[in-house]
Amino acid sequence: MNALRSVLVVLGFECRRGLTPWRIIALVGLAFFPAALGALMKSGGAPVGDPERWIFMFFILIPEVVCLLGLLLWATPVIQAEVEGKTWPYLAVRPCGKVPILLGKYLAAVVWTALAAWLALGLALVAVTPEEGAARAALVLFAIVSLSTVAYGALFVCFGVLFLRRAMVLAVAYTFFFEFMISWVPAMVNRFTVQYHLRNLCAKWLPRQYVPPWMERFLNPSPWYSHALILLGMTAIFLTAAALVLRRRQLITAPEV
Amino acid sequence: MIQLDHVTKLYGSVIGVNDITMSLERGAYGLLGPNGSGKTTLLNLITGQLRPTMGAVRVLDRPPANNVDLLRRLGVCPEHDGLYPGVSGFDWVCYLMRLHGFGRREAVARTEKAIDLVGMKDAMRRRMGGYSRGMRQRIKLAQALAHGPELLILDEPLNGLDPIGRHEMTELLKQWIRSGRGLLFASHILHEVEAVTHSFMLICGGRLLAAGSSEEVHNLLADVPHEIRIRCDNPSQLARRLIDEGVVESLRFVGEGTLVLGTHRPAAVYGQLPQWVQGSGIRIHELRSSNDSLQALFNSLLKIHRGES
Repeated sequence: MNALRSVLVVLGFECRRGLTPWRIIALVGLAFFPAALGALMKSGGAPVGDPERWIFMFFILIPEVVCLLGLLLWATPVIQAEVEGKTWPYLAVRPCGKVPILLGKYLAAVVWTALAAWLALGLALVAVTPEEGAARAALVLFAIVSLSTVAYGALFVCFGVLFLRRAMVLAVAYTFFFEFMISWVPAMVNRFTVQYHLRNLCAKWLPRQYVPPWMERFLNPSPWYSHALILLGMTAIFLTAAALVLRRRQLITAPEV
Repeated sequence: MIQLDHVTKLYGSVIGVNDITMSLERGAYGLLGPNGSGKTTLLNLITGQLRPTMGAVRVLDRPPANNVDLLRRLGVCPEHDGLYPGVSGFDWVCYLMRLHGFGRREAVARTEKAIDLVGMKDAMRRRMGGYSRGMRQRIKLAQALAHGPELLILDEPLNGLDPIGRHEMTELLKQWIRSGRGLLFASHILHEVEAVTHSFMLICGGRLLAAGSSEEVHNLLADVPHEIRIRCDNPSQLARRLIDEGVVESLRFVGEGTLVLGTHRPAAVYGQLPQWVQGSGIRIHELRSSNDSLQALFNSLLKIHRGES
């Protein structure tokens, strides 16, 4: 109970502390980017109001780009920032210290990114003014965005704890290679990526006619809840691994030798 | 209070702390050593932030690594000013109290009391980014004191404080000691430690060189040649005179007109040098003890430790 309370204390503190002009600018920038792209394409005469197009476009732009960028910025350096800012020794000597701090900061990163992604989704819908199926598809994308934030957030926090230096570079490299390339390989290996399960959930929750026919070969016949459970399981594994490593890790700011 | 049994800490192939064994009863101790001597590594081992490569550490009868019960009883003030610049001193201390397990009301009350104790009440609502060095030191001390720990571990706590601030903090620490609670206070400045406690541990090169009261340390140094630096008109003539008087253990010339004398009889040199040079035409421009610097003291102890003296 005490640990849960500490997680909430860290979440509240980090959300208040994050309320800076730089953070707001980054959030607004992320939120406007898909809408701006959609509006640009629409003004260029592209049929972006067609459900097959806008759903696919925003599935790529919001859960895959906005969420990933936000989490790279806010989830990957959660521990590294404390170590580099030399604030870690003050936190690590608290009885409710290391793991609640990790989880609280993870949740704060998820909250900030989800806010940017939800705002991005709302603005994008306004920008492209979909012709049909907007409400159902928007709800599906809202759920996908939320799951994407939770799962990728845990993955990037895990990266941040495992690799204190160059965590962001490694996370970007991992994302490009595994999440953007391997997840599209029609083999067993793609099931280990977050993107594969998000894609399957999106396809299963949307009406069949909105799923592009070429995507069928990259989908799995398992029921939707199996993908949702796998995503939540991956999240739990990433966070547990990060917490275990953090508990064992000796994080010192300046070895005096 | 603290037991270290043959504790060694390696950073790769670099030794941070080298085979330290010590047992400290409840009380106040000054950990004295030059910069880079291993003080912070030793404190990190005691607070459980580092694990020893070899040996064992026990603090308040418990191993410190990831020990929640022990952390409740420790107050730690690290050397670095790792403060969030956009957060007020009050919010920061209160946040740390919440992480200590106190409810909101209790955390606020403890924060206010501790901040008042370190004299930061007027500035507690200001952002820490605008604090002076002395204010940061005070707020750091407040977060270490606020939960009422049994053992206070401070790493260079008086850095950056003005003379009045130093006096106030010294008095605060003396009051802490009088209350019967433990204190371990690391510093590289001898008089800072001496003003708070007379129990010393001297550390250099990761080794515990000496421990005891200030008198015991001075006795230990009695056998070490005392270095006197003399700047004069004719150093070679002065050197001959000093050799004739039989007070010389070692002699060396440093630059033009400066002689460094090693002697076991510093009082004789200081007392009789005017008579020795009277009528010789040697003019002494400057006379000072090289051993005034803490580094010289540690060099002497390190020589003893290595069996060189």
